[in-house]
This record gives sequence, C-alpha cells and structure tokens, in this order.
Amino acid sequence: MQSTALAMSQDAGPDAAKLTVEKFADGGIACLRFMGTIDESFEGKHLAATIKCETLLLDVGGVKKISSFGIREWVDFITAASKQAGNVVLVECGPKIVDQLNMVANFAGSGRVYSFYAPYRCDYCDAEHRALLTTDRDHEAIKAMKLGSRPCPTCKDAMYFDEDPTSFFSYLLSQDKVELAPDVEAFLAARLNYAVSDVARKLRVDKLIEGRLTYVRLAGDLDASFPREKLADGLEGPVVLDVTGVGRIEPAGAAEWRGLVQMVTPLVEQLTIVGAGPSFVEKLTRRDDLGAKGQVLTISLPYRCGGCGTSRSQLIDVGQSFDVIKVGKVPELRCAHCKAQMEPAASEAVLAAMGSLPRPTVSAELGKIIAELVGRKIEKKKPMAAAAALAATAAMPPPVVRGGGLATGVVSALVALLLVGGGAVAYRLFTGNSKAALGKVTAASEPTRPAWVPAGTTSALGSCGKTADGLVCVGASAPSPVQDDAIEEARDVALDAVAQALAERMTADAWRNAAAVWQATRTAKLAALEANPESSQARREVRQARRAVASLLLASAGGAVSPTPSARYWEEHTNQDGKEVQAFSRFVVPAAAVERLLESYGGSADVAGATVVNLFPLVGWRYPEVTHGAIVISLGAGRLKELGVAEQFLVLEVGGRKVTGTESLARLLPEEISRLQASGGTLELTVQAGDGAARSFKDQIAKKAAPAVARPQGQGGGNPPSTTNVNIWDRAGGDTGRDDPTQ
Amino acid sequence: MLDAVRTHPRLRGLLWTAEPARRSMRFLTESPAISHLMGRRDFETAPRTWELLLVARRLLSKEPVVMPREAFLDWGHTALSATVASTVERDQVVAAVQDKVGALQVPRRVAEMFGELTHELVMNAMYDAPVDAQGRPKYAANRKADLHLEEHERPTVWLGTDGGRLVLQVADRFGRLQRHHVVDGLARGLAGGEMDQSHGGAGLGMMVCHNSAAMLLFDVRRGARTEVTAIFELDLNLREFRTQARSIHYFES
Repeated sequence: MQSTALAMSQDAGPDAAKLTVEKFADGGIACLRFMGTIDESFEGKHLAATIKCETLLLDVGGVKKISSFGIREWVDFITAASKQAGNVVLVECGPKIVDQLNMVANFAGSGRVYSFYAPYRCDYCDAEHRALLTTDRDHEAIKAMKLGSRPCPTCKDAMYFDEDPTSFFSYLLSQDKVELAPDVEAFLAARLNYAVSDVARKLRVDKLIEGRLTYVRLAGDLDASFPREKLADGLEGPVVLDVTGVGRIEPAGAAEWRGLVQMVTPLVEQLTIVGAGPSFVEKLTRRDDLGAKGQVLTISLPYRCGGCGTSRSQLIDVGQSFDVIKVGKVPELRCAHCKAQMEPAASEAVLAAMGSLPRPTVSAELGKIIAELVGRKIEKKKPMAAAAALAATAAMPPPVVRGGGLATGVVSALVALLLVGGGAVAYRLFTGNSKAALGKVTAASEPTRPAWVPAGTTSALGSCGKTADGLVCVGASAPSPVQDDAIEEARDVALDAVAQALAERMTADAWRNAAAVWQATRTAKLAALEANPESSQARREVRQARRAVASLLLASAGGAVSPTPSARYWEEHTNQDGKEVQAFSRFVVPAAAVERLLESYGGSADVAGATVVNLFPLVGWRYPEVTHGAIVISLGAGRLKELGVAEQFLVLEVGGRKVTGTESLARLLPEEISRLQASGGTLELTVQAGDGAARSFKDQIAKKAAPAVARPQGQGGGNPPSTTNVNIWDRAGGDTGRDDPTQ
Repeated sequence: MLDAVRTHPRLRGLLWTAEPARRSMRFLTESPAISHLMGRRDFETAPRTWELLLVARRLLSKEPVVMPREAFLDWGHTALSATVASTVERDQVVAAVQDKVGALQVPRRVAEMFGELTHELVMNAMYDAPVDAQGRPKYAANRKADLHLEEHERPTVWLGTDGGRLVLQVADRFGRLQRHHVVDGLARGLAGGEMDQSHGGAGLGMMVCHNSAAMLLFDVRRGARTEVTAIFELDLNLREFRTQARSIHYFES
C-alpha cells in the first residue's frame, strides 16, 4: 500500500483566474464567452447588470467546471440577463452544461440552446472527442435521440456517442427548433467565427442603386463560389462595396475577389470599399488588390475596452485618420459605454497593411450618400400570406393548371393534370408562402405586364406546360426587397420546374430508385415550408435546394437548357412594409432538346454488376453540395456490391478521380481496378449515401501475379527460391491473391 | 416494505433497486427506517457482496462499527491524503485530485467529475460543518468568503484506488450532517433541480455528489465526525455509469 500527501497544484492559487468572461458587442447583439470554472466566486447578478442588448449570446463552450453554488450564481445571472436582453441564446454548450440543463430547473432561464457539443469516444485510440451540433441543422437527430458514429479525427475509425441519449437529450427535446435571426447568424459567423448553418455562411449579395451610385453589400464567406461574373455584371459609375459582413476569406475566394476587381476596374468610375475587417485588410487591400480605381474608405477594427472589457468593432475613417494610419498606428478611441481607453486588437500585419493604404478621395455628397446606404437596413423578406393559386400562366396556351390550391394541403405539391383538349401536361409546384396582397405596383421592367406572367401569384411558384415550342416553364419569385435576389429566385424556380417536368417523363421502373434519392427530402422540405411559412430556415433550405437543382441542370444539360431565360419580368410593389420586388422567368426548352435530355438522364449503364444512371438535377434537393456523380439504381453481384455500395447511392469519385456520369464511371472503375491489380493497393470509392457526409468505401486489391513463365527443361521444378519476403504462392499463380499452400 | 417498517419500529429497510434514485427517494422520504439504497444495473447483476455485508454488519451491530476507509479497496491500493486549511488550499486540493484521477488514464470527464465532487464535499465540510462554542454555524452564511480554518476545523481529503475502484473520502470533526440534509437534498435535486436558497448554498450539492459517484456513504458520529465517502467503479464506461442505479447509505451513531 502506498500513501502519500496530496501534492498541491501550484497553478490553482488565488491569483489564477477561475473564470474569464470575454465580451463582444455589435449593434444590438452582444456575446459573452465564458471560460473556466463557475463557482461561488462568479458574480452572476453583477455581470447581468452590465448587459444591455437586444440579443444576448452566451458561449459556454469553455466552461470546465460548475459547482452547486456556481449553479445558484448562474441561475441568478440568467434570470437577470433574461430581463435585460430580449433574446438569450446559448451556444457551444459542453456536455457539462447540457448536464446542468437536464438537471437544474431554469438553468437556461428564458434562453434557448442553439448549439452544443456531443461527447464522442474512439475505442481504437482511446480518446475522447466532441462534435458540435446545432439545434436547427441536427433537429431530426436530436428528436430521434440517435447520433450516428463519426470518423475519429485521429485514426479515422468510427467513434461513438458516449452518453446515454435519453438523459443527454432530455432538455434539448423539450425546446423547439431554434433558428437564429440572419443578423445574429452573421454576427456569430463573420465576427466570431462560430459554427452556424452552412447556408448562413454562404455569401449573400445585396445591391442598391442610388442615382449613379451602385452600392453592393456582401455578407458571408469569400470562397471559391464567389459569384465574380455575376457581381461584375452591370457595375458602372461609382461603386461602393460594403464588406462589413464578410467573414472567412479563403485563398480561392481572395483570388476570385482580385479577379472581380480586375474585371470591373475598366468599367467603373471609382471602386470604394467600406467596412473592411482585419482579415480583409490583411489579405485584399494591397495596391495590386485594389487596382487603379480602388480605395478603402472605412475599416472595421475590433477594439477592447480596458474598463468594461467589452470588445466591439469600431469603424475607422481612413481619410480622417490617414496620418495616424500611415505610420502604422490606429486612432485612439474611448468606450462609448464607460468612456475608458480602448485598445485595438489588430496584428502587426494588419497595421502594416493599413499603413500602405492610399488616401481615399470621396466628395462630400458621395460620402453622405454612402453613409446613408451603409446605415440603411435592407428589409428581411416578410413571410408571405396565403397564396392564391397560381393562375397557371398566361403564357402557356391555354391555362393548363387550376385547382389543387393551398387548402388541399398537397405538400409534395406536384399536380399533373392531363388536359384532354390540348393534350398538355402541366405541373404546379407550391413552394412558398404568401401574403394576401403585395401592394400597389410602383415600378416594373416593362410598361405592361407580359401575357406569360401568371396573375395573382404571391409565392415562389413554378409551372410547366408542353406547347408546340416544347417545354415552357415559368418561375415566379417570392417578393423580395432586393431586385437581384428576386430575379435569381425566379430563374431557379423555373429551372427546378424544368427538372421536375423531366422527372415526370421518366417512366422506367428502375428510375423509381433514382427518384427515391430526392423525393422524400423534397417533400419534407416543402412540407416544412408549408407548415411554417415564417421559418427562415425552411425558406433557406428550399431556396438552397432550388439553386442546386438549377446549377446541376445547367451543368449537365449540355446546352439543351439555356442559362438565360427566354423572357424576364419584374414588378416593384409598395405597401406598408416598404418596397418589394417580384420577378418572373420563362424558359423554353425545345421539344428536340427535351427528348435529348430524357435520353441522357434516362440512359443507364451496367458497371461492375450495378446499373447506374447519370446524376439527375433534382438530386440537389437532397444533396445541394453534390455537383457530379452517378446514381446506382439497381445492384447485382459484382465489385460495387462487394464494396458495400447499395441502390440509391451516389458514386462521386473513383480513386480520387471525379465521376461525371455513367460513361465516366464505366471507364474509371475498370481502369482503377486494372491499375491496382498491377501494383496492388486500395480501391477507394467516394460515395454519397444517407444524410451524412460523403463516405469512402475501400477494398484492398492484391497485386495480380504475373503469368507463369515456362522454364527450360532440366532446370528442376517447383518455385524459384525466394530471395525476398514476397509470397511465393502468389507469385506461382492463381488469381485469388491468397496464400494457399494447398494449391 | 413501507408497511413492514411501519409495523415493526426496530426493523431497518434496505432497498435493492435497479431504478434511478429519483424513483426510490420516496421510500427514504416517507420512512426514516429506510436509509439504504443499494443500486445495481439490473436484477440479473449480483449485488456487491461487500456492500451487502457492510450494511448488514452495521445494522446488526449494537456497538458502533469503525470501518477503516482502506476497507473499500483491495490489497495493494494506493492512496493520497490532505488537510484543507483555507480556500486557497481547497482549490489546490481539488486540482490535485483531478490531476491524480486524470493520471489513472480514465476519461477526462471522469477526472473533471471527481474534481467537482471534491469541491462539493470540501465546500460542505469547510463552510457548513464548523460551529462555534454555542453550536452556531461559523461560516455557513457566506460561501464567497475566504476562509482560514482553525486546526480542529480543517477537513481531511483522502483519495484511494486499487485499479478497480476509486474512493474519495472527505471528513470533518463536527458530525453535524443529518439524514434529512441528505434525503431532502437528493429528493429536491433529483425531482427537477429546484434550488433551495434558504441557506448559504444552492441546495444542489447532494445532487452533484449523486451524479458523480456510483455509491455514496454518509457516516456520522453525532457531534464528533462526518465522513462522506464516494466510490466510482473504474470498469464502467460513462454510458453505463449514467444509467446505473446509485447506492446511497446513511449511517448514524
């Protein structure tokens, strides 16, 4: 037996800070980040008294311990904070906090949990990990109390959810799905780099035109998907790019940005950047990046108050502070709250980049307009009231669809009516919400409404009809405060209708397996939107799915579908909520092109025992990120089955090479197998299946033995003596690749 | 069982259960003759023999039974001990316990859990237990105060393991813990975590202790000594531990 005195830990002395609380604030949103131990020393009420905001975000991911008295202090804090802030959201709750939520009444006060960590354990490397889940994206998994295994970040083997789900999810099940307001999501993602939905991180572009000035507001991450051409389209005169909402800047996104600047420099009079954050300044404001006409007017720099400890972004006017900035310094500021001196939180690299900025020149009048535009709130889309049925398109002769209005509750919302008279088939797709009246038309793209524009539509709706010209599809957007946004949505809706019309024409039995990939998801997304038209999450999901479908259709149609609509129309409506634009797009797909598309999408190929078809655009409803691949629609004995591939799986890559369709798969797979048989190695297929991320299916392929070489007589039989560790049985022949001495 | 202990006042009840403690607390709340919960994963799992013998021996003995803390562990165990004189030392001891448990290669969460458990037990022993010459609580009113305890007020912390079990014992020299502190605290905490702010703490300490140990033993020699012993079985993973019914024993002499 060994007994010793407990050695006291030296770092736990009275001076060691038990709990650190960092504060970040921006407009009406504040975030408190807790790190350390919450115990009797935590002054909950005192902290709560310092809070003044509309939305309070509490990041409790760094809480390591919480004692029973700490719980008391915390409950005092959250109770008081709930009164100070209209909306309290807990983010990144660790398992310890989830335990407290489950055990202690009122631990969250009036707050709701947006994201939390689920504990995972990998038995292979005997390590604990945690996975961040959000209550909107992972709502279904939480509801089902089933968290699947995940690949261990260290060894890539499966790790499992290391908690009792019934007790772990008990609190989370009691709260409704939490959806963050877009400004809160933007604050979390762009300012603090928190995990929010992927959609929230996607770049959002709002464009306003004020006289000759074009003002473009960007919010989200700059990555490879940056719409350079689209953004550059139509830019002229003085242009202001507001990058306050730009979050992460990936190298590919930075390259796209530079490309944009190069493209627009000859077209614009002046390119003014406002609200450049530290990351933007560091990466995209060198002389070359700004081009000949570029300048940075304002910089959004985080400052930390030495008095109250709050970090908040401060807008620095480059022109006014130019002399200070030029020498690698930043202006001294005082906290608006407590008047104490504030310290800038900028790296040397940022200060150096700021020092090399050119002095901006903006006329007083323009400066005033820019200030007004920066401060202008671009109205969030209002939920639509109940829509009147889509008067099935004035353009399609004759109106082909009626009825099946919203009251029927047809969620999957595909109504196909065979019109006896005209023999036309039409589709009606309910996807949006609506409101009773859009208000008075105050502007329009044409003096008179074209005949093909459906009357009375107030939601995002698509419809198709077969005419002598071919397939005619019309898409209507939901009303949007941003014109470009409405035009884009109308185009996506129309292209989605084209894809849906094509899917309806696929009659082969095996095709059902392909359609099963997206049908249920599509139905669910549309149902979610119909059930809760005010849900921004549901709207975003439908919108994102349609965008993916449109992109896939254009990418895979081989020119059969034009990327630009044959006709376009928009109307600006004014009502008590302000101005909103509704747009309409019309696509005509010639009959011959339709036949070609049906042949292309419907054509199957047999590959390694499986029947596969080309990726169909509607896959975008389920997998918005997938851009290539082939769908397995039936499966027989063969290499794919041996690998574990099943029907309705999407094969995306073979050995790291992209599968672009059935032909590509039929070529790549045998090629890869032959290559591996020659050298030995692992056959790896990247497959999209289920609702998780794409997975790798692997199979070891042994090096195939070289054919036996006839030896000269009299040299003795049997195998040559081995001088290496090579398996002589495999060398001797046989294609099993096994070490079988009975052969 | 409730009827039996009601009709036979000298009878003592021992509840063997596979259910969560919150469902069993009503038996302890309703009858003072039941002060023992023996929890197992299910009824197919044999009860811990030593636990059964321990309770039987203590209940049947007419004399106070002194049970050395080493008795909870097998031969060849290692143990560590410390005395806590101040709030600074309290934090140091908590950190040291967490480090020692972490060094056993158990999951980090178990080490953190034992750190929390130590903090709870030491807080009670430091702030709630000490009384002045008139028997009035000396420090209970303000748990935020920095303390420097007198020699006789200092609680002892003992941590031992034999590789199969982890035992933490915190003892004070006042013997003031009463059955209702344990039973009411657990009943309130397990029923939904409603706080009791009538005293200095949150009234949730018992719940924290319950959640951190497979077995809790409260051994009180009235006016002389309180020992709270928490036992964790190292062969259980956290999921099994969460779902296993807990054992709670209260002895008073």
